[in-house]
Amino acid sequence: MASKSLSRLMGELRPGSPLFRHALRAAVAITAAVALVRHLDLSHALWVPITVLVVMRPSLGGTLNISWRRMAGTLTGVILGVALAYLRLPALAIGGLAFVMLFWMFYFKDRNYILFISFLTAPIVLILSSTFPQLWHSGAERLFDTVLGLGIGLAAAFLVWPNFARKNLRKALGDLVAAQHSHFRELRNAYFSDGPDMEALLSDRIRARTQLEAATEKCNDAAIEPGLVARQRQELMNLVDVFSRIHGTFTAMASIVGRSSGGVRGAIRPELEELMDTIDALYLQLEDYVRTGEETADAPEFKTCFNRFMVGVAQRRVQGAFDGFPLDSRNNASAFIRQIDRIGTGLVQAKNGLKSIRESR
Amino acid sequence: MALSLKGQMLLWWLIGSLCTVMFRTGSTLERRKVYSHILLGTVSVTVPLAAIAAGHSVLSLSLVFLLSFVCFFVASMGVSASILGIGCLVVSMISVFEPAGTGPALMRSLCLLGGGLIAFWVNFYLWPFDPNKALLSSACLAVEDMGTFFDGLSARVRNPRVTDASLEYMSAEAMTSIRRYRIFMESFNIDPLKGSAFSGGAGLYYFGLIRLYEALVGLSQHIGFCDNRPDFDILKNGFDSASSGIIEAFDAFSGMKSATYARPDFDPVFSEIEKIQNTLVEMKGYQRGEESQEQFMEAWGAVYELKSVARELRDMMALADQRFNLKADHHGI
Repeated sequence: MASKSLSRLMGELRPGSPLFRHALRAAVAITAAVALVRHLDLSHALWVPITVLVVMRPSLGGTLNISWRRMAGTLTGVILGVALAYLRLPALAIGGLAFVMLFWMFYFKDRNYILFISFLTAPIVLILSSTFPQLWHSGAERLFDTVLGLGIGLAAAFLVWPNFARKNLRKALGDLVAAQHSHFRELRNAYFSDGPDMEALLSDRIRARTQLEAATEKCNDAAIEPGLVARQRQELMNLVDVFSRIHGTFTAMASIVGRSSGGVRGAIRPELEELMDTIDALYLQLEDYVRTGEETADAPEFKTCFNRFMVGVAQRRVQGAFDGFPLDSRNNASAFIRQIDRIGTGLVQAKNGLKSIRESR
Repeated sequence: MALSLKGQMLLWWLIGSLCTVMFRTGSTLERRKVYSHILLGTVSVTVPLAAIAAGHSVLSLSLVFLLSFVCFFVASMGVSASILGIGCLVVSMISVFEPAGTGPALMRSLCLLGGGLIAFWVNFYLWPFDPNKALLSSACLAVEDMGTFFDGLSARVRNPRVTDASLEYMSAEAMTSIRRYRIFMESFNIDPLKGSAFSGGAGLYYFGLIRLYEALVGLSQHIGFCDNRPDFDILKNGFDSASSGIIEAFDAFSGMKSATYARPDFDPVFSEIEKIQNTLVEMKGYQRGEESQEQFMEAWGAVYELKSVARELRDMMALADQRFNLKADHHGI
């Protein structure tokens, strides 16, 4: 395991590697921050390089994204801290307030970055205000150091081998579509199996979720970078929503698959398999389109196929073909079909969204 | 001067403890111990180096550059390497801004190690997490979050103004709690994917949580089944009645943290669901033309998933009794 990690590390040690460039970019920025802090002889020397350390992200969009949130959080925290300092509270009350704010800081740590930074900044500013001649000095210093750190970080992100998130978007989305397609196939096989391997399905869904999170981050980063028009930004966000909804549908499908057995699912298997072939074809087409920008594989029109399937099922239902099956089995098949409809509709929306992004150039 | 030196040493003692606590990483208890050792070992070398180099402008900047590059570059080895790198860089940078001669620099290193080892001992030996307590507490939180999600879903049936965004937020909170449960399992060297509800094993309860969450997400997919359908009011009422039974069960189950809880009786919930199903059958949706078809499918989906939620919650209570040795008093809802 250690030798594998080490060989991966050595493989990245080349100027063309995005990781090498990112490390170099960050090192330049942090060193510049330390040099500048020394030159300006700032009293809280660590604040500037730590701000740089926090905001340096592999892509320009990532750095922009976290920078504005850090700025907003610091500004809010400084205002709150200075306002509280002007109340000239006794030391015990300041301690109590700082404790409460630190509690909220931990609460918001993984929930809301702006509030996390606000509740980190406010107690620092409040406590330090007693060591400065003017109550607002600590706030001003914190704000100045943050602006300086953000400025250095952004300058490095723009000037040292800038890496645009949108350049890697095609790969990230392609990998996401492939992961979702593979998970769909697993669900499809599991649905018709009498003893579905739910543990394997869960591992597979976690993999698909990881890809979804990576692609979401790339889309969010790309949407904030300069060079895209407003419509493209909006479509990128819509695309994230569509893929998240499809993932939600997979989660719901797992519940149905876990409770499927015999009954109706067997009676309509050929038609259902045909419908799922359509989803397979849609996935293949979408993956091709995401990766190459060209529609290489043919896929039938989903709604037409779905409606044809539903008409067939409805006719058989009217004839009483399913009356002999238990209600649970009928409901299970019905819920499964509904989810197939959602996935197909989602894939069509994703394709249209991608087309719109390309055509808006 | 002696006091100031003592203060400095105390500061480094404190930094050693803090960095051991703040830059904890590793998915298992054993790995966490190893990573803590690596961090302490590395900073005990880089901190004196940084302190000595701090007196020379070019040398100290070169060291900062090198450390920063390594800190970001090792990220390719994984999240743990990245966290250790950041910890090492931050602690070394504190030293870069406080120049010292060889003797005090080495003393700084010893203080770091001392503080760090005390934090290590407290963390892993004196006051370690009780695995069962931590797991029970995070399991309880997951159940509570899923209960809130279910509350939101049943409110959505009554009131279409409950937004999708708020339901998504509740769903994400529930998922985060389940994830936290998994992370706790991993940190106690328990493989969450080992075993299942069918085969038993360590992951027994984790799979129970997952299945309940899946059923809730399934329900959320059909939750708008009676929007703009006055003829579905009878279904809405039935749904309301069944879901209030499930909410009470969630409430009772969240008392599991105290190791005893009133075990609810699910029979009234299932009979309520059966009533909704019968009503739906009598409405003969498939004879009403294509327009109604979709909404009837949604209604069937919602009822099916409501039943799944009730079943999974019931099954999960049995699993929890088994996993955490809970004592359930049997009461009706």
